Amino acid sequence: MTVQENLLLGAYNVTDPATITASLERVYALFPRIAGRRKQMAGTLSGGEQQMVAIGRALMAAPKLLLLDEPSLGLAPNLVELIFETIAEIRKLGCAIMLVEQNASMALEVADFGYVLETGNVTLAGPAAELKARRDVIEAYLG
Amino acid sequence: MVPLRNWTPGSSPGMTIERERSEARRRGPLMSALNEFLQHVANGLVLGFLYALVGIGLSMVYGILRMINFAHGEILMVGAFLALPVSALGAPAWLVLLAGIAGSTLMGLVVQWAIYRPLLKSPEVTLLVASLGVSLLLQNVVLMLTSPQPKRPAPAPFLDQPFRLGEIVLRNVDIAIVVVAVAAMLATHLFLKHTRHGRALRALAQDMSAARMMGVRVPFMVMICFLIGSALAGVAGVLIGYKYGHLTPLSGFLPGLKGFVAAVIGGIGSFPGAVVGGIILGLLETFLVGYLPDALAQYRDGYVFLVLILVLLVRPSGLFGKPETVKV
Repeated sequence: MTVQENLLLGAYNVTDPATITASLERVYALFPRIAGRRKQMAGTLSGGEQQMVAIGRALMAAPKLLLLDEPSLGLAPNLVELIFETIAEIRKLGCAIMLVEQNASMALEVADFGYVLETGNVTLAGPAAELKARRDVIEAYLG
Repeated sequence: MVPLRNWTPGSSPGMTIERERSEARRRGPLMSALNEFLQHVANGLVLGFLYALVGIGLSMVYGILRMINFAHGEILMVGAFLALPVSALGAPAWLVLLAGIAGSTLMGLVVQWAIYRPLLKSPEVTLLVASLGVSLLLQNVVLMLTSPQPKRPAPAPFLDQPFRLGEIVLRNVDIAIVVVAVAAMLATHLFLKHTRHGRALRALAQDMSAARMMGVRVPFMVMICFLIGSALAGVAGVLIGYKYGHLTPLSGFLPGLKGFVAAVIGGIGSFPGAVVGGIILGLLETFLVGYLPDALAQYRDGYVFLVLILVLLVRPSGLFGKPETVKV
C-alpha cells in the first residue's frame, strides 16, 4: 500500500472527510520527507521514512495518547535526532505521549516525566529534569 | 438433450468444432486460419472473463482468511438456481441477473456466518475441510430440493442472437458476459482502491495484526469479503446459465475448481492476478481444445488441471504473488 493509503488507514474510524484531510495535512507538515513520497509503496521507503509513516499513521486518528515503543531503534543517528525532534513537535501539539526508549539521554530531553524500569520493576521515577541530573545513576543502570 | 454423462461444461450448443473447421476450409487456408485463431481468441476471452469472475472471490477470501473456499462453485450454483424462478416468471435478463446476485450473496453470507466465522481460530486445514463439506452439503441439498434433471433458464431470445465481428461468430450472450464481467470487475477494483472499507480489506490481507490495530474489525471485513466474492460468483452463475442453457446441482463444481486454477495462475490472494489468471486460463483451454485433434480435445477439463499442476511445480505463487521465502 502507498504511503497515503497507509495514512488514510490510520484514520479508518474517522468518518468526517474534513477531519481526515486536516489530519493528513498535519502529518505531511510534520514529516516533509514523506510528503513528497505519498504515492510511493510504503515498503520501498527507508527505515527512517517507514518509521515516520508509522508514527504519522498513528497520529491520523487524532489520539489523546500516543504510545511509542522504541521508535529510534535501528535508525541512523541523524534520523534518531529527527525522530526525537518530531516527538517534541507532537508534544507541542498537545498530544500526550508514552515513550518507551533505550536511548535514555535523548528520551529525557523530550520528556516531562520519566520511569526507569529494571527487569520489570520501576526502580526510579521522577521529573525528567531530575533524572537527567542523576545521569551517573542512569548510566549505571543502562550501561 | 445432451445426456448428462456426455455434457462437458465448456461446450457451446450449436457450435461444434467440426462445423467450424469445415466452414473454415471452404474459405481458403490463410484467411481461414487467421479467422479460426481470432475465433478462438474471442471464445477464450469470454470463457476467461467467466473464470476471472469466479477466481476473484476465491482470491479475496484466501487473501484474508488464508482459506480456499471449495464451496465457492456451489455458491455460484445456488445463485443461478435462485434466479431460475425469476426467469420462469418472464423477468427481463437484467432482473434475473440481479436475482442471481442476491441469491448467491445471501448464500455466501449465510455460509460464512454459520460455518466459517466460528472456525476462524482453527487451523487452516479445518477451514479447508469445512469448505469441502459445505460444497457437498449444498450440492445435495439443492439436489434433494429440486431434481437431477437439468433446468433451463427461460429462453432470452435477444441473448441467443448471433453477433458477428467480421468473420468471428459469437452470440449476444457472449458480449453480455464480457460487458457485465468487465463492469463487475471495475466496480470491485474501484471499491478496493478508493473506499475506506476497500483499503481496510487490502490492509487486512497484507498484515492482519497491523490492520486490527488501526481499528479494522475482522468479522465485519470477512463479511464484506464474502459479500463481494459471492456476488461476483452469482454474476458468473447467471451468465453461465444463459450461455449454456443447462443448470444442475453439479453445475457449480467445475467452474468453482477452474476459478481456483485461475486464481492460482495469477497468484492466489491477488485481485489483478485472478483477472489475468482467468483470462489466461480461458484462452489456454480454448486454444487447446481448438487445435488439438478431437480425440485429445475432449479432455478439456483435464488440461485445466494439468495447467494447475504445472503452475504449482514451476511458480506456485503465481504471476502476481510474492514467492514465499522460508527463513532458516
